[in-house]
Amino acid sequence: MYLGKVLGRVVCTQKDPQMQGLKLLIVTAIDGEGKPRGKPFIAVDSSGAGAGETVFLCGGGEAALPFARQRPPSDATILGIVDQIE
Amino acid sequence: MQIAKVVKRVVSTVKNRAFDQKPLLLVQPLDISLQHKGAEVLAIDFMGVDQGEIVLLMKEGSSVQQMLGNKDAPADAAIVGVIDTIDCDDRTVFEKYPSNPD
Repeated sequence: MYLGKVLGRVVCTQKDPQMQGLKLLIVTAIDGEGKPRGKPFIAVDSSGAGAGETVFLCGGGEAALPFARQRPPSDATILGIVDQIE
Repeated sequence: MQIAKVVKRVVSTVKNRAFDQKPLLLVQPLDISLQHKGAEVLAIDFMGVDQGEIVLLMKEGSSVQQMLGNKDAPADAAIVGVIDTIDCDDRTVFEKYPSNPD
């Protein structure tokens, strides 16, 4: 799992049926100081995050698991919104 | 997942059975300003997209296997969506159907 910051949003009308109703956000991975690491990518949101928020994500095969009734094809999923990093 | 542009269709007759009936596309990953980013990727198309379209590229083996319904499918990239709009830093970067043509 890793930290990220939400930069924006992508909208797709035509998408995999397992992704219906899920929000797609543009995220950049960040380090503990909030500095961007690498290039931005698209993540599926499971936590109601929005632009500008610091979040944490998981990647790999587990990215399809956080949803109750859906198994979206995802390689990065937002698991939570970070309140603060101490 | 990544933003990508469809560059070429790849036709293959002799191929692994897991790929039967599924078109293969060569796509160019893009960054959020739609500039080329890295090498082209060969991906399975689940959406029926056309050349030149801006799509959502997913690179995760077990999700592709789940979409194919085959746990042994040797695949690691798929087109899972067609992008309508991209908004980043309070700015619209891309619109498939511009609301104001001029």
